[in-house]
Amino acid sequence: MAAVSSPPRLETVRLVPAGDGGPSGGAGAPGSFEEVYARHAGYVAGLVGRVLGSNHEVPDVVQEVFLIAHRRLGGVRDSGSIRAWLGRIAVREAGRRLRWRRVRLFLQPARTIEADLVAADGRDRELRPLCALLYASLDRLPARERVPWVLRNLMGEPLDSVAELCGCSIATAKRRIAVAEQVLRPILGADEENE
Amino acid sequence: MSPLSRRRRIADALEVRWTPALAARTQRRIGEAVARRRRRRRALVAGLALLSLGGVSFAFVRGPELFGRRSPNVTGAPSTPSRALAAPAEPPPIPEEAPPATVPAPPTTAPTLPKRASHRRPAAAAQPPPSVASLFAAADAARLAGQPADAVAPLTAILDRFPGDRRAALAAFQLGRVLADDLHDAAAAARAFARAREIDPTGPFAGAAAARASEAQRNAHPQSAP
Repeated sequence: MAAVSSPPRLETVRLVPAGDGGPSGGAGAPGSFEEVYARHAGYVAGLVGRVLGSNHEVPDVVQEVFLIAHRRLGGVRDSGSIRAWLGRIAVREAGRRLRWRRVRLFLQPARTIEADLVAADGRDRELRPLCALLYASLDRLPARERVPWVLRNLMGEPLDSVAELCGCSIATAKRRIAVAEQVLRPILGADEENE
Repeated sequence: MSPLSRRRRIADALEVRWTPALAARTQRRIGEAVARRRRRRRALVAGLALLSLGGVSFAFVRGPELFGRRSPNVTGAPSTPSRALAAPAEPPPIPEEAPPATVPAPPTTAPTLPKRASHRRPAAAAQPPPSVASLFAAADAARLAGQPADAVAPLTAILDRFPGDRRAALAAFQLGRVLADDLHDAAAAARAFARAREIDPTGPFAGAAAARASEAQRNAHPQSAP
């Protein structure tokens, strides 16, 4: 029996937490737009991809995020806050996309929206069906509940960071995560780490 | 059983496709969008600048003319409103050769009066030459003020200085009306009406000018009437 060769692994980005000495830079001027893009485009792409769940929308949203950043970069004084600032813009733009997606889903319930799942093809490919099921369930959630849940559970962001990225209080973020958790618990089971 | 929870394994399994080629392509698209936005902004600024330039030049060229037509000077003198408004706000003229306080002042202020007059005379001489509209305004003002004789000079000035203007026929017709109706100079009125018809034989005043010309001629020479 011929061995099935695994598909070539894509060059992908993995999220680097903000406190891990990642390429966020220190205090001071944020630098040129090209530098900011080179440092943070991967982070923005990872965040947007995980929130949206599809690869094919990522370049468009990254483009929108950095166009906004290009317009407002002059107002940023501390390069240390660039990453969080870009994260907030990315979350807002992704939320906008999600709201439009829900409108389309409402108008065309039978439409298959997911075309290019962000799940890996190689090592954990047995998890692809579960990822597809997870994102299909997330599509039924409002963006204001989906985004905090994704940030907390799929990106491992602490609660204060989730609240900051979503532009809400920590209590609100917790409440929204709990609402989403009730919907997703039958798929994922109980959260052993947080309980 | 896996040591990791199911959601943790899913989180680890998620990979967003973001290759260097994709990053470069996105950066290129961002650059194109930024350049497009800059071009749009430049075009907008240029359009606004052209619009404001056109407005300012229009205000300079046609503003006094339009404003003069709306509020003609009662005395008939073709003066701009800004000048008329600015005149009262002028500070009192300071004598150019005012003596210091230690020097005894002249006994009367009489010597300052000629200086004031001589100060204003060059300003009046520096006024721009009257336009057709300002001459019309002066004529209208004179007629409305009950001095039709003063309207003859501006209307004649229009005919003499601007014979090619499209309003020359109107000026001639108006002159004929003033001469015939107000000043009762039938012969001159007949000449003015004939001039109006001659300037614009197909214009809106041609028929009326011909009729008024023949009527004025009849009044001027009553013995030649049938």
